[in-house]
Amino acid sequence: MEFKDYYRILGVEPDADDKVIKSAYRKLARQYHPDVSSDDDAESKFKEVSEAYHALKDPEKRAEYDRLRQYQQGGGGGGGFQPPPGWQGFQGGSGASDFQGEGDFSDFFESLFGGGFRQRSSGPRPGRDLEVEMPLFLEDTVADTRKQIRVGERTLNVTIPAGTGDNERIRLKGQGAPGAGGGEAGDLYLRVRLVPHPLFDVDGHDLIVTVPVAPWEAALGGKVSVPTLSGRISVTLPANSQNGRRLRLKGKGLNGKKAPGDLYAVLKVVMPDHNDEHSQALWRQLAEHSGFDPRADWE
Amino acid sequence: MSNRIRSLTLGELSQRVALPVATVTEIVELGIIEPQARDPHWLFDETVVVVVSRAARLHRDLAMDWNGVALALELAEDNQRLRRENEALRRRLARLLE
Repeated sequence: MEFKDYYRILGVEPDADDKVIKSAYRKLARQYHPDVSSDDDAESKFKEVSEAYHALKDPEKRAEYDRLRQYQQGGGGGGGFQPPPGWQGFQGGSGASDFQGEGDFSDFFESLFGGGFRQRSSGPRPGRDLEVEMPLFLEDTVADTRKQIRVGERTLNVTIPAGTGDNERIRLKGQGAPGAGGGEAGDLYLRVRLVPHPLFDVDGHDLIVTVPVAPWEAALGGKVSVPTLSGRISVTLPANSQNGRRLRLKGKGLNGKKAPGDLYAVLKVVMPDHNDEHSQALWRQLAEHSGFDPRADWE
Repeated sequence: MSNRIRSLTLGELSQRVALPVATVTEIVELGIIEPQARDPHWLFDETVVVVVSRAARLHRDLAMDWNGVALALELAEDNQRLRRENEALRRRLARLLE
């Protein structure tokens, strides 16, 4: 078992008073609370910080912990942590803890203060509702899609209705945390996260695709084949199109609950990688012929 | 396995999240959740259960009052939305510049 340095976890000195400990805990709890933190490790860090605080805020528990800590620093524990011989564990009874969390503290904490620390109620208790993120490809939103997702040890089959959008929740009844004492299991909510696509960007229900065009295509117009989620379509490019021009393809966006979104084809004028002599001559001819000054506004 | 989303009354919701009706009422009045119907009485989309549970954890773990919880959730939601928007705009920008 690993010895936990609760003072180091809270970032306080071993002789810190209660106020300092409380304020360090509050600050870290805000920082790592899994419901607001975007830190990948938020949940385990929050648990660690809560555990440290619950050991140190109670004077009896803290005294007991300090005794063990001294023993550990004296080299008594060797590499891993071993309680000193004859040590009985925490005997003090400051009454029920006011900690109402999930209560799964480390083995180290349990061995110090006992597992009876956890609050247990006798009646049936429903399980917690859980929420997990579910990555979804844009292609999977076109029609109803069956997907397998893994939640902990379990694999679940889910049907994702066509038109499901980013951030939407899908409820799976009874697939949350199991209940206790005969209580019902909680529900599982899948929160949809659309996976970034190599071609399409998403803006609400609209899609955006960047279409590279040659300078002469932009100048002369013509037909361009543009990808959509359901195959390529031919789009008319108007003559004299500016770089960045948006062409709207109605109804070719993502399916929505009401009407489907649109697809916007954004033109990006691209120069050829290299020009041979003949091409250069043609460009020069164009330059001499055209009176166009793109920096006229600077005058 | 039912994917259908049910409606909950105020009483059913407070039972599901194990909070007194008065507390859930305060949570609604602060705008942390919105009823999907108000007339003749409040009805909630079942997905609000996760939001109320999250609010209750913040209230308990960070010793925040409900007003503070409402603000924290709003800011966290904004933060996440802006972060995702920023990522999406960066991707779009990269397509234009690459």
